[in-house]
Amino acid sequence: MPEELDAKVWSDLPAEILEHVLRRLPFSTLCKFRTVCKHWNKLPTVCAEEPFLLGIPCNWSWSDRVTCLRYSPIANKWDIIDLSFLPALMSPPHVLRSYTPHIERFCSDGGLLCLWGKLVAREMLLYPFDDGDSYEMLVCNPLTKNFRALPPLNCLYQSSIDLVMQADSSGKYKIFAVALVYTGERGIRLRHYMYESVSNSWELLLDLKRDCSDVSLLRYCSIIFKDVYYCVSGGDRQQYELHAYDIKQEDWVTVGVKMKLDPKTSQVFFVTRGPDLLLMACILEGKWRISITKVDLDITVETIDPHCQISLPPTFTWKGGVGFEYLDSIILASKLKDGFMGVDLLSLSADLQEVRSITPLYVVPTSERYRCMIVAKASFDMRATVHLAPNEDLDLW
Amino acid sequence: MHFQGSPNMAEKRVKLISSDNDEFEVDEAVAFESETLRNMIQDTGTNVPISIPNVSSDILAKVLEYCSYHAETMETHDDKPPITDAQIREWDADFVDVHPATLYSLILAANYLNIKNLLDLICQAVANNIRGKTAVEIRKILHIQDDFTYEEEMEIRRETKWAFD
Repeated sequence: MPEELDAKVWSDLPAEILEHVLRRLPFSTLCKFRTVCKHWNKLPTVCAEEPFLLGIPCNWSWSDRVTCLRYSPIANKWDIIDLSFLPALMSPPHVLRSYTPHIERFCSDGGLLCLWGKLVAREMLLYPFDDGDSYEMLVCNPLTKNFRALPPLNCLYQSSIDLVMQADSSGKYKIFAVALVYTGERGIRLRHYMYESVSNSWELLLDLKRDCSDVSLLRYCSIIFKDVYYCVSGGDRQQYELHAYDIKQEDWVTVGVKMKLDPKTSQVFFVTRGPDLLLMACILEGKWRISITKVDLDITVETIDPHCQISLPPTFTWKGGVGFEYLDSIILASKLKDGFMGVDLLSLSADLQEVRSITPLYVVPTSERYRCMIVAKASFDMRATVHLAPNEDLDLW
Repeated sequence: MHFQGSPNMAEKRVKLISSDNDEFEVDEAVAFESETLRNMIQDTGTNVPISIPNVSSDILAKVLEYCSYHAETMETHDDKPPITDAQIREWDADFVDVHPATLYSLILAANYLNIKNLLDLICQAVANNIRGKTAVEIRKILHIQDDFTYEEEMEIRRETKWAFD
């Protein structure tokens, strides 16, 4: 625009259009504008109602500030949210200077983020999987930096956990974790745990034996949809199975319903679509395709069949990612190729017929220290708090 | 006999009347870029001129310029290469490079006529313009009353310190 905005004209802008404009601002600018007036102070919360994609770089270079990247579908832009408070939460003060956080998984709901990761010594940055550090889990509001350290959940395989959380309107929240656990003579177990903010403790919900030649071939994913926690697991010699836990009834409604999925499936993830829950299975056969299964708890048949297949564009490589519903489409986000941090975005129409690439994709300048990025759907809310119990110790160390 | 999508359909013309009583005639496909006009045409047909009482002639001309161009980008011609996304983006950027007062009228027209892409385009242009402004400047432009106490404002400043780095 050649000239500046003029108060004589713009002060009459209808509120609904102003909101259209403000939703297109980067998140940091919106936060900066909170001091305009009381109404604008709440705007970042208004935006929070929209689903966002959040990416957390796995290993930050030492000199860089710890941040995560937020993708806003309405503005089709990435912007940066500060996470520099994380190392201080995760590390004892005396090692702060030589350790950096390495987040392996996260989930989000109601403006809260649940992060699972560990501190990695500076010299181990490029090989973070080789040290035996214990993992920590914490819940925080990245905007207010309010946080809570969760009781430990020890899982021997890093990267083998999947997390989902559900926050209710009263501010209480539950976190479901599914993880592969080595139990010595009892072999490999797939365990479902539930954390409740009220009791601040984990509960083992389900413990399943897994026979497999290679745990890296086991796939699983989870989601909370209409107050039901769903998890699909399978791979290697294990047939894919659906488990579903009714959160309100506090009971399993389905355990081990068999699903027909391609044995060559390399990743599974859930996506909601209006009243439906879809399971996406990514398969590489020359090029990438996704088989889509509608998941329905009411079905009486023991086997759920994929009912639809989509082919991904030939230039697209599925390197592990997520999908989420946005207005009349589903946004699929995959990590870029290995050794390169970035996310590639696709839009899938609600009728599952049309796939289109979305620009821009975000690529951080290639550097040795950026390896990959984990992505998940996220929400933001200034008002969300982690609700510490009265006797909970704020000082971690 | 009447076939949908027949050449006759494509040549259908729509008459529009601006707030200052000027008449504009455009292809139906151009008018269909506007969701509001599409609904009106489907209700009343193309025989009756459609009056748009809250959009002036100069703004309606601009809006129709946008709609014509974007309707054209959807067509494929055998003799011409298709218009690329980059060309469209460049055209759009030129289109919103106008006086803010015009932009203001356009945003209202796009909202009333429900032309989603145009509304998106202008909202983004306005967002780009206010992005670099301070809270004080925003209050001045939009005539917003500062309703915080000093303590409240300091508290928010403390919480959002990272955004100012």
